[in-house]
Amino acid sequence: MLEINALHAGYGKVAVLDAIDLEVNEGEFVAILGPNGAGKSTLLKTIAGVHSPQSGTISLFGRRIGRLGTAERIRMGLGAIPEARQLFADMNVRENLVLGAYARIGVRIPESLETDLDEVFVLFPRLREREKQSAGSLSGGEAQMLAIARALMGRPRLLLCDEPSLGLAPMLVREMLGALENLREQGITILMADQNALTVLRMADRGYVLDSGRIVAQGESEALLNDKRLRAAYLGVGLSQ
Amino acid sequence: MDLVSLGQIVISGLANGALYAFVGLGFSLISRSTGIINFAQGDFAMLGAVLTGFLVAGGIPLILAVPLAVLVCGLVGGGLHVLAIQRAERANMAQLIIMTIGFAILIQGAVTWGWGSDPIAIPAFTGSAPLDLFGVTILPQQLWLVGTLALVTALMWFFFQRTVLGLALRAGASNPLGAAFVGINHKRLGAYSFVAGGLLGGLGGAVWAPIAFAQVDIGIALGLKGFTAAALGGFGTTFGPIAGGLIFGLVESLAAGLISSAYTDAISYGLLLVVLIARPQGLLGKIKRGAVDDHREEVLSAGLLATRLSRQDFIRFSVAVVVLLLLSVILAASWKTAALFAGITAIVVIGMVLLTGFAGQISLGQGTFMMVGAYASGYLTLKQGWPPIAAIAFGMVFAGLLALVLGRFIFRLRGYYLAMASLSLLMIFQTLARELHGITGGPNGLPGIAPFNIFGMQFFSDDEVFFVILVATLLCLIAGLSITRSRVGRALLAMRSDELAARACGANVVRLKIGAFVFAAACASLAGSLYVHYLGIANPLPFSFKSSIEHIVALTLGGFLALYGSYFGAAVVVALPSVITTVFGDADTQAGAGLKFLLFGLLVIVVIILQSNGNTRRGSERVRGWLRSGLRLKTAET
Repeated sequence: MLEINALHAGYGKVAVLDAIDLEVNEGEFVAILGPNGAGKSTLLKTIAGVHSPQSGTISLFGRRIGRLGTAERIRMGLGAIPEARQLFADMNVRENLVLGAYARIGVRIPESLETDLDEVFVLFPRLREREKQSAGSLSGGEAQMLAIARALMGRPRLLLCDEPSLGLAPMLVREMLGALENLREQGITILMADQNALTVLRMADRGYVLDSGRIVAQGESEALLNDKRLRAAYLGVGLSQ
Repeated sequence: MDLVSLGQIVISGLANGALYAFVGLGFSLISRSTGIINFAQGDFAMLGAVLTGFLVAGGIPLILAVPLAVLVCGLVGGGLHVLAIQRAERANMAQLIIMTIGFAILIQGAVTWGWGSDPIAIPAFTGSAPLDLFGVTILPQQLWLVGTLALVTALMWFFFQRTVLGLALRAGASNPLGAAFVGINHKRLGAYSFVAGGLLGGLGGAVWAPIAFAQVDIGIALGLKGFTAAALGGFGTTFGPIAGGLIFGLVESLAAGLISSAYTDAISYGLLLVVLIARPQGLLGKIKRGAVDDHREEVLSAGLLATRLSRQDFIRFSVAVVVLLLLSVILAASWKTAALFAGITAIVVIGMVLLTGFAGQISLGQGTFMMVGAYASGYLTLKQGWPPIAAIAFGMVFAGLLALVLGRFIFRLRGYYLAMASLSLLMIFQTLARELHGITGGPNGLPGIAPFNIFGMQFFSDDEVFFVILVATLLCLIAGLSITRSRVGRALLAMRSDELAARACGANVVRLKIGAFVFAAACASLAGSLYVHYLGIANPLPFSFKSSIEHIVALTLGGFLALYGSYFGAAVVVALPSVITTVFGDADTQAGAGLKFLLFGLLVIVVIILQSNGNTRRGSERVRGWLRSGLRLKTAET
């Protein structure tokens, strides 16, 4: 479904991603793990088309998308929940959701959009209550739901999630991960970067460990979870255990 | 006063207000969709009016001339976005706003250069026979203007609330990164909104023009008043600028009719200042909650700067002194005068480097503080017999206090409120200077100010004054250097790149901004004092809004973070008119003035594009590299 080969990316002279190879198959839940500054966000931004790569190829559904704009990628079935959510704070919840469908609806709002909105509101009833409220006034958990819902409005088949648990209380993290689990059962493929390594890896099928812009380990979640060296170095499990 | 005259005043006020509202809507539109305050908005309206007049004079029927003129304005707007703003992708917001000031100067210059600045009469759309309403006369064209405004407002409201494109434009201003993630192409949408801004301004200008005359000079005033309309009602709202424009037009007209036409500006801009202080978001605006900070990459920032005064600083400073002294010997008499003015401008710009470069605040009214210095020196030395140095000190303290008080109110909120506040303060001070005859001598000013003297030494000839100004610039430079190379300088830079983070590190951002503003005000006051001591007269004209433009051009050319650059920027600004005169001759001064502004505008735009792409820095690094390798070669030979 998604295939990345020898991807290099960075900001000016600073190289962030160094020869990344990565693959996500239909229906999978793949985790990208790694410490702060490893390049997780840059990788997801590059896949989403928000950041341009310096070299390498990205293929989505067998098609090279390196030169396509974000809107085109969304129309192909790519959705993204950006780091720190990036909601439109001074616009209301409904407007945020409509904009989630921006790439596929064109200039006029189609009537079918109402049904799409209803579907999303069924998944996140809280958002219906807050429909006319500005996104900036939502609580952290509600804002995260809105970020997920906004991405869903683009009808993604592959969903990129960048640190969705950032800034959420443990209970809300569980709730949010539960929502993602649901989406996966509905057939949406998920590629997720998170620092909450253990929890995420337990949900994921496979994982990649990123450090300083390189993939230092990859494999089935089980195998990664059982690798003592990795556990100590990257998965946030101290030597005390 | 009878009711009919009052009605007449109200009608003409509302008609003018409708025009301000048109321009204000354009400000609001562009600021809502790109976050940029487009200072060329008034010039779009001026362009619409002048083009219509030009086309009609060329024999094109009015019914074709108006849409054609409006269309051209739209194209100019879009063109400026594609050719200039999109090229400066990594520029920060302050730079982009200054770039639009460049657009304004460019358009004014081009129009003056191309068509001159004479007023053009334009026939009314549907006859000029006035309608009579209970004795109050209304021009049909005024109805056209109000009707068009109402239509456009309704369309704009619908556009921003109900259409996908409108939502997308708002999203782009609300959170650029979030907008990119949902597939919004901010470049394309930004260009659309500039096209729309051009169309809107052009339409307002074209429909208004038959009421008065189309001429290039209305550009600045329209920009200021449209800006006031938007600020008064609230940027980022549809109805705010309408309310703001109508209120402003009404207040202006009532003030002129009931109180005094001389104080019109002071009263209407006083109103703006009060609103900015009491309700900075405008009457109808809301304070943005959870608004996203401007996180554009800071290309210009710290790289060039040491964090404390180093040996290098002393070397550079000494080199500057030597170069300037050499200049004083080399410069021929005719250039010495230019050098004096450049030095005075450089003092103002050194202050602005701290205020705009370091603290990220744009002031459009450093002329206010120059006037404080000018009149303090003039009045106190002439009428009170103070020694010049005491008068200068008084002016600087007074200007600093003024900045302190204004800053306390204005810097409570993030954003570019200082641009508006400083501008209205300038308009008020210009009026006061013209009207308070007892202190300022009115428009004729205070003549007969003695040359600067201290310890019994008179500085009379150009050479002597050059020395005084040189010392003054160097003192300001030392002050600027020691501030920027200190803890305060680091805090200012931190604040400039991320205000929240700086605050989190314990920097008191409000106090920092106020400090930078006070420093800039004191510098400007010093410059104003020196100016009047040299010319021997203090009058309001040299400190008008046109001087603000020159200061901003000089700041941009010198570099926003470059204290030494102040000399360079000031020199270019002062020298360019003479260069134009030398090259093109004195024959046509109007065209010459047009060309000057055209070049100023182009320079500002090009320099900001180069700066934002890091070209100027690469350039200066290369030059430094050459110098270094040159020195090394020499040492190797010996």
